[in-house]
Amino acid sequence: MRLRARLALTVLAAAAPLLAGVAWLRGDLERRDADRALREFALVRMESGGRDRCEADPAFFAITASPLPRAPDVGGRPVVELGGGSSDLPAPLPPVPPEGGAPADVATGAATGPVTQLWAYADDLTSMNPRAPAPPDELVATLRSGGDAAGAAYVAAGGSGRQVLVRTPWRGGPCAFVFVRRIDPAPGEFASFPIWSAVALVAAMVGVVAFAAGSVVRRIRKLTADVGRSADQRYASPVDERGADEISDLARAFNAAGHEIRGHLDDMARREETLRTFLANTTHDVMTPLAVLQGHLSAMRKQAAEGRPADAETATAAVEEAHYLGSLVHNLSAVAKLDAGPRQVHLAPMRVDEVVQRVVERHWPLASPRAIEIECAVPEEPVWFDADVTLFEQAVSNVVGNAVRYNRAGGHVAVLLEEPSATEFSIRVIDDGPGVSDEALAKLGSREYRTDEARRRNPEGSGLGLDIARRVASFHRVKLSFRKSEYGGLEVEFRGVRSPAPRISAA
Amino acid sequence: MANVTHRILLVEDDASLGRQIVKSMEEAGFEPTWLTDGDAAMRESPRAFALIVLDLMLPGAYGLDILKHIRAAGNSVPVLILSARNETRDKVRALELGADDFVTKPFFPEELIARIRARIRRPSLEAGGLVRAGGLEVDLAARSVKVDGETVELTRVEFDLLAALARRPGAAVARSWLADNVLDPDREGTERTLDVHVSRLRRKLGASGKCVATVWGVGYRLAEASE
Ligand SMILES: Nc1ncnc2c1ncn2[C@@H]1O[C@H](COP(=O)(O)OP(=O)(O)OP(=O)(O)O)[C@@H](O)[C@H]1O
Ligand SMILES: [Mg+2]
Repeated sequence: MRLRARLALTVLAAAAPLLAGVAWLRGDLERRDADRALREFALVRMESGGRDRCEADPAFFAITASPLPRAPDVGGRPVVELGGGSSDLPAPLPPVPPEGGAPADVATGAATGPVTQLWAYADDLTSMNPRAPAPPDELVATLRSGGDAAGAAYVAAGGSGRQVLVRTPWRGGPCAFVFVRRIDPAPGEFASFPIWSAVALVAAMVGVVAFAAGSVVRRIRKLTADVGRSADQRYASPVDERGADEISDLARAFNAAGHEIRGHLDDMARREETLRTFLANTTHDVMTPLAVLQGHLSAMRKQAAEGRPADAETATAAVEEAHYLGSLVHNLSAVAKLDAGPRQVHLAPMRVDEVVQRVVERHWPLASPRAIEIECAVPEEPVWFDADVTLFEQAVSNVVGNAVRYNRAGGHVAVLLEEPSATEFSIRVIDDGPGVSDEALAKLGSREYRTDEARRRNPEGSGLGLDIARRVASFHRVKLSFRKSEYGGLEVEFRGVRSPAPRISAA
Repeated sequence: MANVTHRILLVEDDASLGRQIVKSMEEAGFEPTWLTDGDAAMRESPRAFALIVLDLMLPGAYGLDILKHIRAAGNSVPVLILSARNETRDKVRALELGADDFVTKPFFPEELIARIRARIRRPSLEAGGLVRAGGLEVDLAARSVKVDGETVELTRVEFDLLAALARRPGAAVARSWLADNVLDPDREGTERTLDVHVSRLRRKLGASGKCVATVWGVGYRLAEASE
């Protein structure tokens, strides 16, 4: 309704000045017509004897004619012609006899229909006829400044009409100018404007607009309802977008926005789901080693309470378990990060040599109780690589962790950072443990592979380690390869292209 | 090095962890000062310490603000960041602000001590010129070697080999690196040739020959004779 009212008001606001303009234009045309007719009338009358009569007796010259003269062929119409208030003038035009033979006056003419009156004036625009009215100043001014004729409205108590002051072609004598005035007794035809038809027209326009707006309003209402429904269904169903106008465009725009929102919602739901499974898995994965750790700690406390020294085996197992827990949590968060997509990965210049040293040092507490020797070597100069240091370090850590964990007591692990070519770096993790069978070796790089022996030997391993190493390596365009080490165990190599040293001054 | 006591500033708000770290630092022969509050750390003069161990999540000033404060004052004391978040952004930011290293929680005390030792050892190396290991004395600048005070004549390759190890005492150096950087590239610089040079070097060094230790799978290292 609001839209309809607004449209109707708009139509009104547009129609009113338009109609007024048309009315004025029409009135103006009519006025011009009338003025021309009056001028023609005057000139014809003066030329056909009027001038002679006027010049002969200017003090009494005046013409009153009724009904309205139209066009130049005045002669073909019944015209009553009278002397200016006196009847002793000879009839100037042959076909027009004095009406009723009796003198008629202006008032009589005015009562029956329009009356036209004519007076003559000298060069200075004064009339010899004392009864002649003084022409309005504006007309006088126009003619003085060189005009041939000028018209104006005439309004008086008895009626209204037009009055025209005309310069005659002979331009001299007492009848150099004529002043014609036509008086309509009723409200002037010129001034009358068809108010009712205008009102009807405007009303019709408003009605048509309101009717036309009806369909627009209906469609907008429908679109509103559709949008509401779509929103209720979390933007699963699109709104009707048939058509080629702005409302259809609006519907399409809404569908596009709805599609996007839907995408975000799905994304959020997916992330929520990932988080939920992650949390569930994490809880499950963490609880087992935690329970083992608690068992070890409780055994050690019991030994202490009984005054016995804690046995080294239990203590070592506790250390291993705690170490495993730490790496498990890091692995789980690495998986979460990798699953979340590349935007969560933060690449920055990284010192590969420092990563190697950190990883090896982290494994000392794990290696030393089992008499496993773990050593590393890095070049003298820093080795730079653009990487997400957390992910990359975790990947290397998983491989080194395996080399320690799957090794036997007294075994060795060597981690070498080398520069095999001018552009490359290589991290080799070598052990002399039992290694893996040929077929297992072939599958090591593939996802979620875990050898059967390993499961039997160390059933709490989750199988995340190498999967993460593989994914991190491929993300960083680093080649990860597995081979048998020359010492019988496994050799794992990360090989990538070094980055130039960053331009930050190291402290 | 063992008879110098290094003062270490530890800023860690967790009481249990702080106690444990202090204990293992003392056992390792360091002299720790422990603060639990970031604002207190801001007031401490970093010059008094050989190294600072800084937790990132602290009440009061944030760990990185303390780091910024230290570096803004133009102090280059090694700073080791302890962080529980294991966030790459934190690490990168810390390194940009001038941190030297970071240790991610959870960690075993041995790991932290190893990191601290590595950082404290470094500057004395760069000052280097003279390196001692057991009865061995390597003068890097003068290119001379003494065993129990007696000068030992070495070939160029033998000295370069020993010098490469001496520049980083205690650290293993890869055979591949030695072969590439020490051996004459014209003559076949294989790792097997390297092993031959090493055994000759050891023989020349006599009793101190065992200071040039073989590191399994890696290469060689200059070690204290007692090891
Ligand atoms: N250095 C190695 N020596 C012998 N076997 C290994 C070695 N590295 C990996 N493996 C084998 O590859 C399997 C997969 O290793 P991966 O690290 O992916 O999983 P995991 O160690 O079993 O579990 P997680 O690392 O998640 O705790 C291991 O179970 C083990 O059988
Ligand atoms: Mg593993």
